[in-house]
Amino acid sequence: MSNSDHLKLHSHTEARPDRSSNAVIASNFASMAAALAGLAAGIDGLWSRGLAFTAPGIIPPFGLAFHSSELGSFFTMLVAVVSLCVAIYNFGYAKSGRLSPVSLVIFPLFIATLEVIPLANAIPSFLFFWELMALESLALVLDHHQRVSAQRAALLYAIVTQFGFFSILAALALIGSHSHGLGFSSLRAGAAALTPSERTLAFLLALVGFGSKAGLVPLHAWLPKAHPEAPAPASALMSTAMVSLGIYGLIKFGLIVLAGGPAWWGLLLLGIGAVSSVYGVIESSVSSDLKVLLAYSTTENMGLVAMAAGTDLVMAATHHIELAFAATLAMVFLLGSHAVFKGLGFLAAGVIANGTGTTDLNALGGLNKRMRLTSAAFGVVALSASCLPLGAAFIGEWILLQSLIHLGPAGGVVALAAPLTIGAIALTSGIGLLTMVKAFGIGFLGKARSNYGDDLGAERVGPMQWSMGLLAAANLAIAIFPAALAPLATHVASVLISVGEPSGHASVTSQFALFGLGGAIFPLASAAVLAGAILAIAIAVRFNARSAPPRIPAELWACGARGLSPAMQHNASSFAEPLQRVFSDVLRPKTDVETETFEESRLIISRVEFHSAQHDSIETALYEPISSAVSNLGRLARLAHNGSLGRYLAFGAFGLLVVLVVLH
Amino acid sequence: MGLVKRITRLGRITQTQPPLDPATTLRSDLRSGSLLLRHVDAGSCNGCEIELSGCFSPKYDLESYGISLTASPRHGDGLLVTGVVTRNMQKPLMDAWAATPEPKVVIAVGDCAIDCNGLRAGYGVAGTVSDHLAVDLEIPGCPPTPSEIVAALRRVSKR
Repeated sequence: MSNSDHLKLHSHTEARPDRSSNAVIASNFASMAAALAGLAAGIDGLWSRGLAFTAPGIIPPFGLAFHSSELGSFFTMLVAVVSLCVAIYNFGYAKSGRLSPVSLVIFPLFIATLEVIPLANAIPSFLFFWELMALESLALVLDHHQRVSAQRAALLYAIVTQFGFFSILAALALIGSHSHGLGFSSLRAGAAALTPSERTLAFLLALVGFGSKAGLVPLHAWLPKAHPEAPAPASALMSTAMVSLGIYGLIKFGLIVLAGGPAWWGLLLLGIGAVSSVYGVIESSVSSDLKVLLAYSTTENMGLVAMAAGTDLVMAATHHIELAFAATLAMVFLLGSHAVFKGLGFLAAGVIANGTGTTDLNALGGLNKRMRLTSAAFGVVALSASCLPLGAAFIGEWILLQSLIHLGPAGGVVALAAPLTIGAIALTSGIGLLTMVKAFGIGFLGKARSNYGDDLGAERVGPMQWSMGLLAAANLAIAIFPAALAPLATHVASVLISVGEPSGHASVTSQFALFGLGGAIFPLASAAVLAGAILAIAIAVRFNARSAPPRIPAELWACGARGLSPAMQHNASSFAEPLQRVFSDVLRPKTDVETETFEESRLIISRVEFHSAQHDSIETALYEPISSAVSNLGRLARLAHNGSLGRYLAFGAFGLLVVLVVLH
Repeated sequence: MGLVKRITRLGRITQTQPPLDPATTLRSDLRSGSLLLRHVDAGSCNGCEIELSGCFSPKYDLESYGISLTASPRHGDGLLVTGVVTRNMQKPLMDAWAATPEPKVVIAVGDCAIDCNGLRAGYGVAGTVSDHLAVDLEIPGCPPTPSEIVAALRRVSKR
């Protein structure tokens, strides 16, 4: 096999001068300190009284107010766990100038901001840190600001996030219009005084605002653009902690401050969640860049969380308290598992990008022999993300399905919505499985498609590998011992749920059972059986190897031909081609075949070229008309200012006239 | 139940060959009862291929004697070669032979594979199969009939 068959790689990250290691170490220790402080605050808020803290002088005239509620503490803890691993990871990642100086400064601040948002207890504090988070993440997306693609991604992200911010601002203004203070406790009392139509409007605005941060369709388009541009640890934080905070806002203001609503709110959330998860997973399945694939998978998983939240609302509105509780529990598990496996996925993608210079699956392959630890870590990600038993996401999905399946005879739209939701979940997990088989099989197995083979030495255990190991352990812990996490999850779910708490507990020690509902799973037992089977096979193989004839090295059988090249393997695009064909109505792939014929005969083809460009069909259908309308509007506005001084003076005089007339 | 009754009443309707004479069997070192062969068309006119495909039809049912074709010689017992060995197929034939694990059998099907059938002088012809490999069994005919092929292959599969 010759080297000319290999793809040529362009370095993913431009060379930067080596920053002084002191700056890197200071930044990482600050990040770690912030993460540990957040972890402490989260544990304190969940299991003890929690802290309350006000600083009236900081942003006058409102000041800052914090209170570690149990819900907020859960999200703070979630953020802190991922942040801690990212901080450890950065000790390996940030050296040799992979992060710009701005990013080094932003990282600890970003972590602290993410942890503080769920603890904010008044509208000004919440909005201040929310906007701060948006700006910090924007700076991280612009880590390689000289790249045109990074600039475009940052622009899109800035527009979506500011649009979301103003929706949230409007929603909070509406909710707060009847309350006496800006604190969240008085907000809830004030929300009760709103008319139903005002409540609905506030809910819709909050859904748009927080949905844009959570990456729900149709405001998801920034995710697959921003993540490939941001450095891997920043992607890990944004795709786990930041999107979870979008869900936090939705829960906080939709479910707790507005205290639930009519069943159709839940149905709307269910619908948006179903569309997000199915669309996200279909786009994910045809993505050939590992980071884009993971970004779309975030939309998919946040869609699942939104479905759980919608189920909660629907069940609560139709007085199925136990089912609502189960859906809430599912939401908690889905959020937790997504944070650990998606964080791990992006961290692994970062190691791959550093080692090979690319995250394009069509240029990767054979990493399992070169990066054993990273491959094992991504194997855990693939298992968890594909919703199979012994994967972390399976637990949450199973509980959600249980809450939907156990809905007895119900009337009206709810009776229709439950089976449709089950169908959406089944479709999502089915395609999700294919996606993860593709990501792992194409990227890590087989033969290398690029010539990184010799440069890449054996993977050494460093901070990056340690942090991935921590996250992988967290994944396996959720998957194998969910019962151990059940008390925490039940505690959080009982805070989350807006209507009463069912009696009983969610778990017994070795099995994982749902109170009241008939279902139970035995993850520990299945893990033990699987481990036993693997051990038995390993022993049998070892035993058999003694009596087996010696191995003879031979060339790969190629049906009589010689010289198989790695390019002949299945690649990410060819693996996804059937899916692209089946879902062509959704994806609307842009493919183009160009053929050239010989001059002598038009029937004999000399060259065929095939182009296939992936694009986000929702983005193309929805965003482009809006952006062209805005630029048309801008062209009209440009007619008004043509540079003539006389015209500007006339405008000024006219404006003054209007002011005088109005004030008169 | 009607189907089961019909099956028991009808019995086997494919052609049943006469029982195998144990004295005529070949290659006692190969396992009996099953024979997986990789077919190599070394330069055939496809006459032998048509008769070979006929062997797998319900009438002759070669697979009922434990004989079948495989795509990869890696898990086969040998090669089934048809046609004269042409220069273009010389290397692939030797590659396929090298890829077959020991113990292996080479079967030449048709007059071309056995003695070039008058084509030896052709500019693209490299020779017979036995010029290249040690042939264990020759099945003459231009082309051999399916029943001849079945009878010959049964001597190797011993079934």
